[in-house]
Amino acid sequence: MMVLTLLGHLLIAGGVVLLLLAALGLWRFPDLHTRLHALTKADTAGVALVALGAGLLSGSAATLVPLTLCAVLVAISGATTGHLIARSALDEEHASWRSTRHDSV
Amino acid sequence: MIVFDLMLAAAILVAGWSALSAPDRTGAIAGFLVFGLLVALSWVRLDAPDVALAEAAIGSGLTGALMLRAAGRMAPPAADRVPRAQRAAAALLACGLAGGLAVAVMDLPGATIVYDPLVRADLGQSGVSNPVTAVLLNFRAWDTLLEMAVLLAALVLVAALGPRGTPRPARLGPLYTPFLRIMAPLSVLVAGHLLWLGATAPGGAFQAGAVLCGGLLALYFGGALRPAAVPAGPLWALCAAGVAVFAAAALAAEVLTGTLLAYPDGADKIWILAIEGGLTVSIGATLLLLFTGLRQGGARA
Amino acid sequence: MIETWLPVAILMTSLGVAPVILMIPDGARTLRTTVNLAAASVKVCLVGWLAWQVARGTDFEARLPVAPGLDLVLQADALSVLFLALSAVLWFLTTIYAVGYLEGGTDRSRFFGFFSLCVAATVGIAMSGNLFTFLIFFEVLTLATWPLVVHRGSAEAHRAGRIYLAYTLGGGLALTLGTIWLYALAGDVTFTPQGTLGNLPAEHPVTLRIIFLLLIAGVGVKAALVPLHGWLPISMVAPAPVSALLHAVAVVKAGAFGIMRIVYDVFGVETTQALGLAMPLAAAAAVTIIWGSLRALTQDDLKKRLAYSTVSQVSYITLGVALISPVAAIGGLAHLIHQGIMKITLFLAAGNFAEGQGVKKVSQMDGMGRLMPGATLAFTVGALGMIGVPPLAGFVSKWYLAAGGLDAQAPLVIALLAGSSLMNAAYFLPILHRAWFRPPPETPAPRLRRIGWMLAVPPAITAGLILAAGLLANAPFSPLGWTRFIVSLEYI
Repeated sequence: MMVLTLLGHLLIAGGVVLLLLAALGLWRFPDLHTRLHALTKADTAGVALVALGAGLLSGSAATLVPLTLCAVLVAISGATTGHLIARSALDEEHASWRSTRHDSV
Repeated sequence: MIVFDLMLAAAILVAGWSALSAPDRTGAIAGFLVFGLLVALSWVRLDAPDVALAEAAIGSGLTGALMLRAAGRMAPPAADRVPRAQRAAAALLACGLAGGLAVAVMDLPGATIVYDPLVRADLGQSGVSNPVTAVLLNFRAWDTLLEMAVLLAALVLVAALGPRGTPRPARLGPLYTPFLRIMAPLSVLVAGHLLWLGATAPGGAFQAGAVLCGGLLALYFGGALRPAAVPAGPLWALCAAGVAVFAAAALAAEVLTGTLLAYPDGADKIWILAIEGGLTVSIGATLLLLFTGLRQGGARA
Repeated sequence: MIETWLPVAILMTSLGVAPVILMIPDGARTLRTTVNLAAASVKVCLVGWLAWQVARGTDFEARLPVAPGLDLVLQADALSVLFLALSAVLWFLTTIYAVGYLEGGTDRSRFFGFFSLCVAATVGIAMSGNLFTFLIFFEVLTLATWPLVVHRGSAEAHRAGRIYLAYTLGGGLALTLGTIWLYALAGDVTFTPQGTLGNLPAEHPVTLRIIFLLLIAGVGVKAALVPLHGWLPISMVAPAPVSALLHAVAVVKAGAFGIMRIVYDVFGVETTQALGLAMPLAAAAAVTIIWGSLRALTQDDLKKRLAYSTVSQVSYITLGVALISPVAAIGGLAHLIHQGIMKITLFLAAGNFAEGQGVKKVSQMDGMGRLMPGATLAFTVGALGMIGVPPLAGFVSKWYLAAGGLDAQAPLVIALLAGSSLMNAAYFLPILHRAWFRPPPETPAPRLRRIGWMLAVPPAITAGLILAAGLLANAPFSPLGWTRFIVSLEYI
């Protein structure tokens, strides 16, 4: 029991550190793509760790299962939205690059 | 926990300010979304998980989506900013109103708690053990029926005033379809789960309907669902189903027990579940159509 | 049973019909017109029945508890019936007119749906049994009229709509704040003849003065009290039937009716006077009467001139309420009806000038009496009534107001009424002179369209009503007879 509690706390602490790093990246990185890079990965992992840790702390499978499901959902939707944001940003850059080249010719 | 509460309160203020001071509409809406999520958290802290769920799903999520869509349709704001004097006057008015309200509320003769003991005493007969559901669908079911009517009225107004035609969503790339394959069925499952859970724990028709609408919206963005292509009649029927089921239940209860919306003894739970099922489908469809708009029956060809 | 269902039924003949009309396809003209006119006629009949029952002393009440101590209450007393009768009859006539006016236009289902909603809100205001219910319907009215004001969809219409909303929603905030405050103080604010506040005025004189100011400012926006009147001339961009509805039936009248309810049935006549609130209200009304008339003098746009005339004339009602004299009250209350039928005649006739000959300005009115005799005749009756020429309706209300001024020992009122009537004559008579005594232009503008019976009959009927209200003023069911009945209940 002690081990599980300790493990739970450790996981949550690790998750919080990752989330803080994600926030730091969002704040400090210069452009959209680097920010996304920091956000999507650290965010997903951070939420998963916190959820797992909370599940362990609760000590019941009935809580652990939905929490795990939450983590999986966050991972899937996080990855997809990250992809969609990057894609639309890329489209816009493409369009602006084309139009500038058009102008200069 | 007091530290957490103070931080939460401060964060809500900051989010509110950032929504107000954002230079463009999208930024302001992002601020509003964050604001809504933080308010939902504060509802959790106030021991009102039902309200928190509703705030997160409808108050923040869906309202934010509606706002984003409206912002996308509006012309970009005029370049010249609102003059400083006008802003100051608005702030002054708002402060005056808030101050007046504060003074008025201080004159209130101490709020009397009416419902709490009543609900506690009768919860056993309501057929459910979640007091919120008991109030919404048994003790004060009349209010909920009217709420559904209001939702339907909102849709009628959107149909009457909204712009013609619905926008085609943009292409979203190869990753979106696999995402949809997981999310769409899952949203149906979660909605059903929330609906069933409503009897004993936070959940219920409104939250379930909001989750269902989320799944439907995902389908709409993927191009799999095109409300504009469906004739308006069946869509209206779907949206009116909630009110219709509720009203039919009210009349049936009148016939069976002699009182409007007093369910037969012992069968409360079945009645509540049946009504909530109808409400969930109807709420999901109505919220979706509020977002997408709908083709009127030949009226706006 | 009937005591509960009749008010609800009267409300539902427009509130329940509005969504049905909104969902009728735009092309289904016959269906929409049938539904519309059927509902309007049913409402007229029900209101007639209600008036008869109220005169016999039946009490009507329908109640829906919203929260502990907070009920939505529909009731019907003599004052409600006054406003109900006005809105039911004029809704019927305006609907006929609007069907003809919007022939071939777009978004007609939307228009008539919100038209019904607007009347539903007016009816709700008339039958509100307490301040809370009044507030709800008052705000519904604000939102329901906006789609009508911006109906044309032009940039100008949208600008007018924004200004309209800024004024009315701002007023709504003041009204809301005042309502909450009063509920906090008094617990419940049911409309009761001679006031509902009990001994509160002795305990909280200052607070109650502030609340009175908030409430009057809230309803005063719709009643177009100067300086809260700015939205009214601007919202003239709306189609003619909407202007008629705004000026004669719904919005402006809802504001004036609110002032009556607040003075008579919330504060009570005696309390209003004891708190020293009657004099400032009368002063505000006097300023509005003069200012509206002054501005009307210089307008060349026909509808704008009528709009400023409304600003001025509606404050006669406020003046009658604020003078704290039963005789003046009779004049003010009767003017609620009289101004309604006179102004709607003027607007419907002005709409016909614009539709038939494209005439929208006073300077284009030359020879209209020969080109469109029917509409010009109706316009003449309305204008003479506004000036106060006997035996038309306007004369009756002005007579009672002046007598009330003497009764309230405020002889200045007579000077005010004389000055205002002179100015009324100064801005109406030149129009009539142009229309009847100047020849039409050498090359008159080509006729735009034929004025069908749907456009011609409603102003003719209302013009007849103006004459009847003046000639038959002493009959028991005339507006004047009914207001005497009301005043006997408020001043005992």
